[in-house]
Amino acid sequence: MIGPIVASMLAAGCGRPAPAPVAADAAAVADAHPIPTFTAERRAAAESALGMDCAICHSLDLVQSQRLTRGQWEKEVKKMAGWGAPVEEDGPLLVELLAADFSPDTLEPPPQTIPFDSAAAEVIPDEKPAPGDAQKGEAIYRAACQSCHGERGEGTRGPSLAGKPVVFRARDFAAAVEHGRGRMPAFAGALSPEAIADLRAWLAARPLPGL
Amino acid sequence: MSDPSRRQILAGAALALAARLGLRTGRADEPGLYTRVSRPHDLETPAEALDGDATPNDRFFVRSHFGPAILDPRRFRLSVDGMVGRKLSLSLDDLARLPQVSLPAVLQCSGNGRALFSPRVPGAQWRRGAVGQAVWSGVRLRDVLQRAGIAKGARFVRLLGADLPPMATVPPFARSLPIEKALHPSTLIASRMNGAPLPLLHGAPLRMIVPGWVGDDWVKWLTSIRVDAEEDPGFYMRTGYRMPVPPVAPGETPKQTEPLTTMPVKSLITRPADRVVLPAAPTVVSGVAWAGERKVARVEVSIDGGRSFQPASLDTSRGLGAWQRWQLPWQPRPGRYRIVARATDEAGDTQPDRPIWNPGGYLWNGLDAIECEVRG
Repeated sequence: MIGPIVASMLAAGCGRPAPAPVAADAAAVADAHPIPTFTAERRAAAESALGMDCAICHSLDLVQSQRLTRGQWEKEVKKMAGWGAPVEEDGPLLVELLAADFSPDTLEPPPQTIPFDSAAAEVIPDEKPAPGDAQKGEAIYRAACQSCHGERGEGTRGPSLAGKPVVFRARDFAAAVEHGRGRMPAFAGALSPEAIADLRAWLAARPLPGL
Repeated sequence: MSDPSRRQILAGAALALAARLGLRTGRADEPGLYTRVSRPHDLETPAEALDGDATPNDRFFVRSHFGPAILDPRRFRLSVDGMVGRKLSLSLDDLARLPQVSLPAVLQCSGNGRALFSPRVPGAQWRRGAVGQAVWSGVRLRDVLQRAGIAKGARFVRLLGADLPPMATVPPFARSLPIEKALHPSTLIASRMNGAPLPLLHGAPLRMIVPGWVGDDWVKWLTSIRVDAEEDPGFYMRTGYRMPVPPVAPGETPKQTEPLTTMPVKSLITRPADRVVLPAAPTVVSGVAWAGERKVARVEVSIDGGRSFQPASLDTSRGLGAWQRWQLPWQPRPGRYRIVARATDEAGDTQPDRPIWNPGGYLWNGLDAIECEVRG
């Protein structure tokens, strides 16, 4: 579900000017200045990092609606790194992109609207839980998911799953597992629809951590 | 709450209360909320949908820290522990057997208006509509705490929802209420909103209602109540949701800060809608105003962009933390107008021309303004 959103946001280019053919010029400037210029390659890498690092926890409109100075962006990226965003080597690249595209001078497009019921329909659990063998699901989870989502779906490198809407929504869950999301690989070839249903059944039965 | 007859009685009681208070519970016509963040949802109400005493549940703004938790109502338990005589683990049925209370109260995100600060600050870029009023129904937090028994030395009540962070490295959203506010008879654990079961996006099955205080304390998907001697040491008490005291200039690091509590006086113009075209015919400029735990004493309206103000008629308060509606008849001639509203509370605090800038972008309460055009 998130993949296409991220992709369309990146494709839309966040309201920035079209990337100029900078390669030759950039090389010349790079010779004169020790600081690397924001080349088209660096921009592409930064946009990819935005989707990979930030969209684990939130949609990119949260980022794109800000209008901050470079100093403020540096603080934000540092704060998010402290909270576990895997931005290690991407940090400076991200700041470069954010300061360029979402500064106090950037125009603000009018907001999108969504009917409440449509928003609710993105998170409300399926009325009838889809069938699945939770016992089989656990084995699949241990083999394929635990390394990123934790022993009980509590989240480690990947986000927590226990109690989250996606594990109570069979279609969204299957789409995420089959196609992947951000850093998460696609499992379409590796897991059958039945295996994905079993996996979901096990996750849906996990109690929330701490409850 | 699983007993449908009880549910109907409660819903009926809330609607009866709404009728007795003269509240309008009808739906506004305009579809949709402004998407500030699409995952987890931060959705803003268009100001013109706030023209009444009860904002419909499906027009009510949505603020999320980590998005909904899916809780099975049959297995749901609300835990009460910490400095108590006996720990409690309450089902929804247990709560339904306690005395039920309904009251109207304004819920406003402390960041409402953040996008209007200059210089800009990070956070959800709310403008005018991260606010709404509903009739909330549920049990008093006080009744629950008294059943557990509060130990000597207890000073805070920590509230925690089931919306756990996406990673263990992200701090959980926990809030501590001072014990006095927790024991206030208007502080509720709500299961219903405008007579209907609390929608999932608004915190089902249970959320806190803390009239007069910022939305930060209105914890959704509430599952844990802990009585403590000290305020929760987590991010959302010690770092986030705090105001510098005294105020700081942009770029300056605050030496001292204090947690957000009550909402400052504020008014909102709900009619006409911003940027509409009106006929040159008699109409009414209307809106709402609120002032945290205080009453609003007066609302003044300017139709000439703030050069001159005239008093609007103002409804009386319907209870702690409820908003008051105001109106001003207007016979416009063709032209372009900037309409400005300014409220003053019973203690004499007036909405400022420029609210106090702060690094979190909290508590924006500058004069509200809309622009419109009148055509002959």
